[in-house]
Amino acid sequence: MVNDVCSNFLATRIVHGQEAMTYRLLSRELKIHTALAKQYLYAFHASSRSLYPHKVHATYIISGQKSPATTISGDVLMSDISSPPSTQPDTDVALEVEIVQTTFELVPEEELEEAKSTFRKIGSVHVYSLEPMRLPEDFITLAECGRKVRDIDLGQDPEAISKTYGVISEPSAKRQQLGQVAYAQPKSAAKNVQPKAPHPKPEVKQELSLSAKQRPVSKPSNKSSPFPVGATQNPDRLTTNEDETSSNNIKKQKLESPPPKKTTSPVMKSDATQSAVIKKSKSTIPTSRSSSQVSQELQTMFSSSEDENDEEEEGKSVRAGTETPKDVIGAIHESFISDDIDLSIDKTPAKPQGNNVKSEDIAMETAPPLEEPGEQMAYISPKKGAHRRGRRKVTKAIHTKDANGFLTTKYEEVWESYSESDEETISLSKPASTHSSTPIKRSSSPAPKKEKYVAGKKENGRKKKQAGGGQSSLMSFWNK
Amino acid sequence: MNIMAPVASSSTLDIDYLLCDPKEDETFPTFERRASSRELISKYNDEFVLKNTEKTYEQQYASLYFLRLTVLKPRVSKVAAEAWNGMSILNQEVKAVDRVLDVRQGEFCWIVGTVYIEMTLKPNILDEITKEFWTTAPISKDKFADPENDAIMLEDESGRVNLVGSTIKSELLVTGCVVAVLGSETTSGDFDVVDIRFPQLAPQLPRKMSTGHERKYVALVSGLEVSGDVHESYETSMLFEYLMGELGGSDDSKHASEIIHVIVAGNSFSNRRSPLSRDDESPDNFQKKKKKYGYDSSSYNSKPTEALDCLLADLSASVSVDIMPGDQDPTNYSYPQQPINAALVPRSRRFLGSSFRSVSNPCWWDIEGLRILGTGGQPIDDIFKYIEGDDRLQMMETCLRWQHCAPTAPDTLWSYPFRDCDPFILNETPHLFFAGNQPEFKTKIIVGEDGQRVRLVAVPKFSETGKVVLVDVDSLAAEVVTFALNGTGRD
Repeated sequence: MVNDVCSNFLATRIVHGQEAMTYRLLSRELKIHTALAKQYLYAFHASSRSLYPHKVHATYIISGQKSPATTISGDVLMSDISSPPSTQPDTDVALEVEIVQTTFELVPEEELEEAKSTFRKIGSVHVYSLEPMRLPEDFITLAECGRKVRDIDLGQDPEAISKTYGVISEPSAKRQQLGQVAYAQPKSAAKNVQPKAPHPKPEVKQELSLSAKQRPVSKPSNKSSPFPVGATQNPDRLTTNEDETSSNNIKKQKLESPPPKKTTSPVMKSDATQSAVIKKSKSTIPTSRSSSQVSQELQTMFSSSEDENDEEEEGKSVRAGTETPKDVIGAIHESFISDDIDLSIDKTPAKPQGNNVKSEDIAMETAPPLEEPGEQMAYISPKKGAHRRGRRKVTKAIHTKDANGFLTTKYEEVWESYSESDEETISLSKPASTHSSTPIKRSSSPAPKKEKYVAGKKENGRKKKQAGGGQSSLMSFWNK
Repeated sequence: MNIMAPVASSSTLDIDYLLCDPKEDETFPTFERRASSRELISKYNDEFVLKNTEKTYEQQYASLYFLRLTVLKPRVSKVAAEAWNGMSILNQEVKAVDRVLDVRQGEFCWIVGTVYIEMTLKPNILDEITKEFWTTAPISKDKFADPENDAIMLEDESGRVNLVGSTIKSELLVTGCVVAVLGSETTSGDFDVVDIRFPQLAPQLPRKMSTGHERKYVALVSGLEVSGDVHESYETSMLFEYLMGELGGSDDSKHASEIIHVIVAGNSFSNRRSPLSRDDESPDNFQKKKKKYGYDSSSYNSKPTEALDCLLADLSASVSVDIMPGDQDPTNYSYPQQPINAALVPRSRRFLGSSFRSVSNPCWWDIEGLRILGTGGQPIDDIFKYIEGDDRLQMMETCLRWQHCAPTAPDTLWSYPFRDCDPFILNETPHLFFAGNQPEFKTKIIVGEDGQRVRLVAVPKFSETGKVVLVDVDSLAAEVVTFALNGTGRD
């Protein structure tokens, strides 16, 4: 019965569709073990001789040991695969046991017998693929099948792949669910950025709402914890790696710990975690409207300055959090989540900046309220009654003319009261004054880096903002 | 259908089982790899990985030679003292002389220093500039060696002495190795060498043998040269199908499941440019081309990385993989090469932390107690230029005896100017020493004075030979698996 299905399938694809069909592709298409697929191919090929004469061509693969026509490097001979591992005499001479040489050879059916005669011992023979006509010498047509197999495999769990198709499984392999990687098409890479860009805000909102509403209590709080899974929403335990996902993790961490000091600018966020983000925006379902709106607002209002140092510090605090029992953190998160709207956010200034910063600020010829990030996490105060209002400490650059007539810049730390509505108007009216972070750089020594990157960062942020609300890429800015 | 192998007769049942009609109730085995430890030896590898913040290029290379001599001199001296102390030549007792310049004429003595070979064919920046002015045709330099004109010298902190004699000519020596030589100074001021000693093999950790009967293999493959274009060689696909256990019969799958770790040792990316980009380089096009900032998709060919990423991601789900850079790969060129940035392989990097790692070149592993040292092959390729002949295994063996895995760095093998340590010094002899991207597969076991046993493997370029090497973790036995398209594998 299955065989009929299979025969029809193969007839459709090979005879009518003029496609090549490898055992791997067949196993993927029919969700069967590769060994069974090899048998199906053989059976179909056998039956096709009467049904579709000269319309189906087979390519075989032979594995085994070739006749000892060659020896390698003088000390090597071919031997039986089942020969026990040798124990060499402890001589300085390199002469040692024979070395097993297994060969896998792909041959068209016409040359099967001839090819087999070159083997001393054959381990296995099976039909590798069926195709409408003989394949070219380099078997390049088969690569297309490989691509199809990959496309089918891509969305599947490695464990399922292993079980269904008989792929050897690796117990330690853990794939991080970061969404699929969308490769930019060559030649249109710059254009590709644009369609992606318009979505970051809704995306962030979804992430937030997801974290607020859907996450279970065992909230991720360290690098090896699960975080919202875009594609599957599968709260599997994921083994993340610092190197790779720390940026993602840190961001998520920020979003999940609800009273964030400030979250990454949506613009930059979309840049930094573009691929992951795209997937998510496709697959996550927006839940609570009200909270997501708020989240979005928060996102906008806090999209002010941020730099690596910030990231670093957050990263550290995240790491430090690994020692805390998870459920405690979860509980803390929960309480924050419930407080989601009633955020009172404090900002602490960074340590006094060096001369670099001053001169850069002057060079920029603008005196935006320069907000410097301070220590994170310590200023979370989810007080009731602080509805939509908060106090934060910002560093302001004040330019004055001194006695000698020089322009001097002073940095003063000011506590300022603000509300979300204020922030929105500010950010709308003064787009240039908001700074975004550059894509996160990981470094173990944040302090010296910070100053180094300030200038580039600001500029970067400005450029982004100018280039159409930050949604376009850097390329589009230069093209203007 | 009767499939009979010409010689094999006992295993025809096995052969046939995939060439028959499927049975209703037949089940096929699915194999799982054994959990095993696959550690990187951070003690050594940390020295290979340079932090961006710590990289400085203000210092001279001299300190690297100084450090090397400081560490290796006592080791060579020990070997030399054992061999030569108390020995007398022509009724004259041999004695050790600490500094090269303290050698007295006519006295038999032994000295320790770093070999420097003055070679006329060695690349020289001044020559290159001169040639640019005089437009001399460049001499092709597969090898720098020119036995007629090369001068071998021994130098230490104090100075240099020219080494002469038939002994020295017959030895395999390259710039940068630390040796002890026995002889006397001639009237012309040269040092006539009678005997020579190397540091010999460093101590080796005892190998822990597993108790089980199961075999465990480490697979070594290099030079995949994945291009991602239409004419990609199909052997690469076959290799990955094999490693994932899909290719061949159940015996093949079982054998593949015994591979506990795969090391991709360099040159995984093809450096062939697409015809399109070559056109772009012509002066006309260059003029016409608008200057672009940032990512320029027309000059950057992402296909090799995409194709390799797909392959590695597939493989990482099935076996643990380490990718090491080679001289063609997108990382720094100078030695030690830093791990390939995982951002280049976004699909595979999802396995970071579990079954996928990007490692430095060279790199040390501890796989189930098997200590492995591997390089992408550059040090051996560079030593090849210094000497006559092409015995890669001998070069590898001598490297171990010099206790240095890249002696020609920083002279002809570009290297980072280390200030604090010479990370290429071998404080330990590995059980398996491999060099990637070699012209052909070669292997042997060498045995040291203290019973150290080392499997040397010259891993061939897969793109040229279709060969992958499997080394048994317990017995150190080597195996080769070849992938061939019709006829190409036949000799």
